[in-house]
Amino acid sequence: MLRDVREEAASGVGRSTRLPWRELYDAHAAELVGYLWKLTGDREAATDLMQDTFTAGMRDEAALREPAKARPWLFRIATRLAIKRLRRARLIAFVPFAGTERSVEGAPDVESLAVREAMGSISADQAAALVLHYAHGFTRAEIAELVGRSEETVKSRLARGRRAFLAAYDRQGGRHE
Amino acid sequence: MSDEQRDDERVRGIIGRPPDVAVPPFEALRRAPARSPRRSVALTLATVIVAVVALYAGQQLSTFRQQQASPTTGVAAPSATAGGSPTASPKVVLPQPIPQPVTRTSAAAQVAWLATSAQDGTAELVGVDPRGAIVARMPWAEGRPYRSADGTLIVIVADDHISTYSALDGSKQRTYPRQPTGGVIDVAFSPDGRWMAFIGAQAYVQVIDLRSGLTQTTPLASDPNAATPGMSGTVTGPIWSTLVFARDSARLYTIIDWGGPLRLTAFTVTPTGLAQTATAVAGIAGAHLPTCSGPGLATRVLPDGGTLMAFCNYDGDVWIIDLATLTEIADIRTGQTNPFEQAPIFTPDGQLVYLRSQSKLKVFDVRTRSVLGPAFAPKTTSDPGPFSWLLGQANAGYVAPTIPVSPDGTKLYWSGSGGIEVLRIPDLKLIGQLSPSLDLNEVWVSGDGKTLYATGSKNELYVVPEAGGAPITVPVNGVFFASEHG
Repeated sequence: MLRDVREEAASGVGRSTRLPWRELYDAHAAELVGYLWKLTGDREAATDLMQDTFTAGMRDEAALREPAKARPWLFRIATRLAIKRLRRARLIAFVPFAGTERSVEGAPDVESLAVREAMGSISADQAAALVLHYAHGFTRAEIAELVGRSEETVKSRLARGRRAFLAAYDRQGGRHE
Repeated sequence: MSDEQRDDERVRGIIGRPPDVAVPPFEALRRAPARSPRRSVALTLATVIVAVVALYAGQQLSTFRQQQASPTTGVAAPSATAGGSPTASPKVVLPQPIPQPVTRTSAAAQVAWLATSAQDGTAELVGVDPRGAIVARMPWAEGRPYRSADGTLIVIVADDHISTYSALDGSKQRTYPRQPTGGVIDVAFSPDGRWMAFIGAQAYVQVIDLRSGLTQTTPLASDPNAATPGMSGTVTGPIWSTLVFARDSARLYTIIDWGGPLRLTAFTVTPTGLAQTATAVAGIAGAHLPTCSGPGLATRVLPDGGTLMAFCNYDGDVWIIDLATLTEIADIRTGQTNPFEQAPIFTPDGQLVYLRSQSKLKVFDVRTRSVLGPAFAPKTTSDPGPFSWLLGQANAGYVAPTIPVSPDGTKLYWSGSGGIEVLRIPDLKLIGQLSPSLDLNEVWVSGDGKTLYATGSKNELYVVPEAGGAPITVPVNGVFFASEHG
């Protein structure tokens, strides 16, 4: 019989009760949305990805060996999902316009736009490393473990990503000195 | 502090602050997807299909980039939509530009004109020539300044008179008393420089022969109950109206009440008379014409002389109208999400319209009526750069007063923190940079295309030879005014 892991988690019944999902959600959902928002530049997408992160986590919680490390584990899932989405988005950016948009946006916030465009101009791996490190305080070693790469690779991603990000940010008219 | 430490601190400052976000309650969390064996098979099949499509798309994209890196007869785009609805993505080739004759070669047409304002409230119009010399300073106390399409005259339209000045040195040429007096809604100049036409707030169109000084006026019909969505208060007169000359300078078209019901009227202009030749009102007598849902409409008569193209800034729609029958041919949704931002940019040959929204760019191909893109910016001259764009200043809220396209229609100039980027039409590959150390705002191209003028972020003007060379700095703080959209 198929089980609804969400209900199981909420009710504390069955295999999924090993982790306190409601508490984890309360503790990390907003932080994850913030992370994913910065990474994707899209708030709606960030909320979707956060939900996907928890859903995937609930389904595969047996993979978490140390419950105390739930936060980096959730970030790992979120990063994997976000990078997948970013890569797909960059591919389909050239797919034809569907012809359904009609809305008119207001004047853009130049600073936000500069950050978003700069983030979008670097590789998804570099972007993830930058946001994890600078916005969420993960060390290089923690990021290395989180993304399954060597610390040297993460160091390189941070250095290259930082340079590329700043160059793009300045080109886009960012104002932060 | 080392460069690395400085960069480290900068990045931390830029992206270090987590945004404040609200999240849906835990109870709203979507259910985990339940995988049945049947679903797994379906997923596997779907994955295979997606993989094949992605592979195909990847090949298309690769081809696209290669072709854009070295276009010959055309620039292949991977796919497009036509007629405003998704299609089976036919391969579309952007047309190579048709080199246009360079006609604005007079000395006056090479002088850049800027409107300036001082902190004490005084304002001036300033002319700067290609040597960087200030050739004219004129007090500007009233009216709105325009420039004739041939580049030779500066025209100031005030409520009770119109004055013309030489664009070469600012010397006054003529003053025309206005009758009727009052506000002017829109102004257009004929391409040959002879005629100036405008729509008055009291619902009339007036044409001035700038050679003889003769004026001709005729009333314009306007619906007193015309829809003006987005506006409040009492609307009197044809608030939403614009006019455009055909390339032969002998025909003039007015568009009134575009919020609905749109009224399109054709006139012929001769030295002896301004004659209305046809009119059509949407919904009347079977006339089929589009509607624009808000302010802002940029128009252009295509080189064939028989087609009017318009861009509705509010909706981001491109209209194509047959001028023989005054009937809509097509109304294409471009999906331009911020159409007020530097849009549209018509190429001089009438083949393409570039639409920029933030750092993304779309291009509308008039022949195939296709919208291509969006695409992003190239980083260097070695990038392939389809529809690429280097984001300069954010210019939301207006139609660009100048169109930074070379007079022969083969290059488009864009300014930003890297000086002036030279982009090749049609693919917008970055082919060069001029004065890359300058931080620039807006570009104006001289009539012969040999000189670029750019306003700088430090409130000065730079005169940059198009062929390359050191820029000349001129202490003028202003904005260009021109009438390329007219």
